[in-house]
Amino acid sequence: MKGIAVAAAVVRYEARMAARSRAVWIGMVPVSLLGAVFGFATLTGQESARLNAGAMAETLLVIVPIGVAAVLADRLRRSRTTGLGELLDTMPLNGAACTVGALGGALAVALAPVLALVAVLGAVIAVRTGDPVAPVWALLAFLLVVLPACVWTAALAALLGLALSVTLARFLVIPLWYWAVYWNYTLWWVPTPVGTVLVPSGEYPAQAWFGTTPVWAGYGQLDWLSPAPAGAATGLANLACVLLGTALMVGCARLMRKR
Amino acid sequence: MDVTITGLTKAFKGNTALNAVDLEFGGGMIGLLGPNGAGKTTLMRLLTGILRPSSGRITVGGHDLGNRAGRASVKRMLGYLPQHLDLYPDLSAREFLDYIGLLKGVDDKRARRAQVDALLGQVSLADSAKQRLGGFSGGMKRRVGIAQALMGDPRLVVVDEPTASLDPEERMRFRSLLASLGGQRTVVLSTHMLDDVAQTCSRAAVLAAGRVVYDGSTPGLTAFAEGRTYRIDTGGPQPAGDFSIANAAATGDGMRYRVITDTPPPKAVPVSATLEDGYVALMRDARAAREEAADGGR
Repeated sequence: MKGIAVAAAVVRYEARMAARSRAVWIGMVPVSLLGAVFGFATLTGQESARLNAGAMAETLLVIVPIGVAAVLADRLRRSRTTGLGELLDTMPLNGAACTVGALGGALAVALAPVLALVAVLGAVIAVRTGDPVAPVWALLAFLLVVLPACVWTAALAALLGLALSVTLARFLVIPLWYWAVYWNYTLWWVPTPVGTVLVPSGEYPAQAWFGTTPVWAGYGQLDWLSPAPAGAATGLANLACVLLGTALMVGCARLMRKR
Repeated sequence: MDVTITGLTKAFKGNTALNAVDLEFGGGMIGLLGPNGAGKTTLMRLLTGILRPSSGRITVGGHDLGNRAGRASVKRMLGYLPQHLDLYPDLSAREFLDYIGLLKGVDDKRARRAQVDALLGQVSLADSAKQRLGGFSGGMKRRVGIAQALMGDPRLVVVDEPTASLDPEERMRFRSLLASLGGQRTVVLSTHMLDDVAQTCSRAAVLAAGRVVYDGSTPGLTAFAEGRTYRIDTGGPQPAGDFSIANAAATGDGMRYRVITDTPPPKAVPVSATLEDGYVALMRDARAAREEAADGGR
């Protein structure tokens, strides 16, 4: 069986386990409800559906990625419980595909209530702007803005969960997220990747494909890492960097699981 | 499936867990005995490719566990039950076995399902197949553990302390299950419970302080205590002398001790040796040999 097929099988079982885990729902339902409050607040209905969808997705990033991170911090650690890690180490198909599948399956379940929320918000945008394509814009905003950020934080949290205790990882990922994405270094200078293409703040893709006005993108501490948002090119560059960062974290997690 | 272990040594931060172990076995069941800390679990982990040896070599069916290709080949024919195994509590027994089947490379869905059904029947869990593992008793979890080890029809099965936490009834049930595993397979059963080996394995190897001190037939262990096993009845206090106590039992008006010694105390009555006596005698000899070697080294 090829790696993709193994990953798909692992995704299926990990998703099943996550769906049956009360902790996932206890974590994600309140986060989605809070996201609904934030999301509704941003919908003015006065601009285009595309702009509304982008703004809505950016607003969801304030809360959703840290909810996802908190819920998934234990996902890779749990397969290292007594004996299970040892057992999985003896499996012929326990490669990188399994690590990706373990995280992907649980992430799919954790994002299900968020996706439902996006669908509702898309419908609301459609009603307010009169644009029947609004749900499609909302879905695209979810895929290009919300999803990369959630994948990135899920990988970060899972990696921290392997290196530290899961509880500590859950707490640590919150300041890390705000430091990486929202830290106002002009008020209090500390080194931060805020405003660079490295972090999944969603600003580059939101500007590129939804026409929002970035706040920090392009104003990072290192000019060469902070190109001015200029449409699809910088949007894709940001997504590529986020994907690469995620792959690095998953790679590190894989190495730690093998230890 | 021939397994050859040559000069195998494993050290952890200066502590030698296994010291130049040589062992060779083929099909059927072999019992690996030894006290706690003898190196049994380390040997199991080396045999399954989880650990890499400090020196020495292991080949399984001609595949060298020292290289990546060899380990990959061995993993395809391996079933393993670790000493302690926490199962995914949110999966049912059927789902867990199916998941393990996938990871073992059993691609065909129908073949996997057939195997899962057969194994659940073999471990008497067919009625609980849909129950979540989180609600299983210790014995049921152990049975799921052995079933997962058998998924993919492995030619080498390594089972580490399978009966350690089971109640007597579950232990007997598990032993009969283990006894049925041999046949075409090679089964390595690591345990410190003599009864497990006596009832399931025709061959035994005994480890003590990281070395193989016995490798032969299981009944052959008894020979170590023949002519050295005595019974001593006392009013209660433990008798003094140079011996190892193999057993102690209250008799109502005192205590009856079963001891292994070359210099029996007065009033000691010679009795015929058992397997347990043989094991105690072997451990006593191994300890004496180590002490002698340590004295010689000073």
